[in-house]
Amino acid sequence: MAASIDLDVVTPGAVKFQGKVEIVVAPGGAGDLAALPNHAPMLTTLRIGVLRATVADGEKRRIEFAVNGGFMQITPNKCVVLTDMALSAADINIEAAQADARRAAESLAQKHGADDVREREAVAWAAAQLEVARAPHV
Amino acid sequence: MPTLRQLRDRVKSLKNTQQITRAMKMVAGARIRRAELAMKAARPYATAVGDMLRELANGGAKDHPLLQEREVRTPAVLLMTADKGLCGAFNSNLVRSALNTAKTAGPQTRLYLVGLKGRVQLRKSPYEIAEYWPLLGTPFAELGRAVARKVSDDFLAGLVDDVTLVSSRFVSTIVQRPTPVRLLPVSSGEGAVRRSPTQNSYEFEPDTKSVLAALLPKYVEFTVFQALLETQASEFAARLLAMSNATDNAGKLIDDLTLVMNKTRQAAITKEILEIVGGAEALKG
Repeated sequence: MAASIDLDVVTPGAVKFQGKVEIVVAPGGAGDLAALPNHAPMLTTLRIGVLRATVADGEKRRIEFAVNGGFMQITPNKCVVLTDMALSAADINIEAAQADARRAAESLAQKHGADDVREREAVAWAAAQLEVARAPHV
Repeated sequence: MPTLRQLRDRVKSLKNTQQITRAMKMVAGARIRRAELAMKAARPYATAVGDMLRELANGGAKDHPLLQEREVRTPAVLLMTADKGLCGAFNSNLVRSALNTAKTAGPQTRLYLVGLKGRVQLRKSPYEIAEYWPLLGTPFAELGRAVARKVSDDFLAGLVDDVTLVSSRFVSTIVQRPTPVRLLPVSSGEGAVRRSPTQNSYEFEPDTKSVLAALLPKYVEFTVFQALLETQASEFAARLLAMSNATDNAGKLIDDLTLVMNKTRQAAITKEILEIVGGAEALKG
């Protein structure tokens, strides 16, 4: 049996995933990173993006969550993802996300680059959702 | 001695009251279950945040404005109460706990209030009300974020130097305890585990400082959010108990009054019979 690592995806409202996985790929604050079993202890911030993992259940099922920032704590045999929101494809309303993406892109364009952190985050969040839902970007 | 009619009206009105209290009791009972589930769902997050803060403290991250202890000139109390009454001494207990905290803190204390009842009861208090949020109408996640941001901003701006959170701790359905906890400055050293240097080799990305800067506001936000959940669960529990007692009391009163009513009616009938018999006797004579 391949080595595995325990993954918890935790939001304030619920534990979105809990189980053994083979690999976790996360949008880390200093660049994307992957965690395999026996990773060195690490605590990192997360950007808005897509969290991926391959479940260690023989079928190698892949799971994906759109996360809007947060934190990830890695120890050799456990990985805890802490985020305000973690949405799987089933949680995402594609039309709403597309509308959000359009609106966010518009308001970002209107800002002309001045103090647009919020807008950039909105665009990234919509894009992450669409990526998880495998819907075309607008 | 009240008349039969008066008694009958009284019993009728009691029955109406009892119907209402019974309905409120059942509503509270149903909602308490949901509130308890929400509380349980939030627990893993609490554990995870606490864990991460501890690791950061172990990693030597101690430098952040939200951690800064300074001389307390303006203390503050963040009080959470319910929006509605009819839940026994729930709100009064919370307000009393807040007033005690404010009294020890000093007359400069500023109040941050969540929940209508707290504002109503503290409107005439000597303390300044800095901000008020109603409880209902906003999802707790959002409300928690708004409250945490306002309090943190005021703390960072130096408007307040110390914030105590007074909310209700949900011990069980029977016991809810108003509990003051210090919210700001955050004391992150708490529970830091001393470990051997070999174990204590966490890496931080991008670096300890930015992880801490990102995590602390989340921690404050989540603490407020969790307090909101617990306070709400406590409110329902308090209301369940209060309304259950009210229903029982109404039932007892109805029983007592019904007995008096029956006796009065019986007495009236006996009197009438006596009168008739007396009259008949008189005619015979």
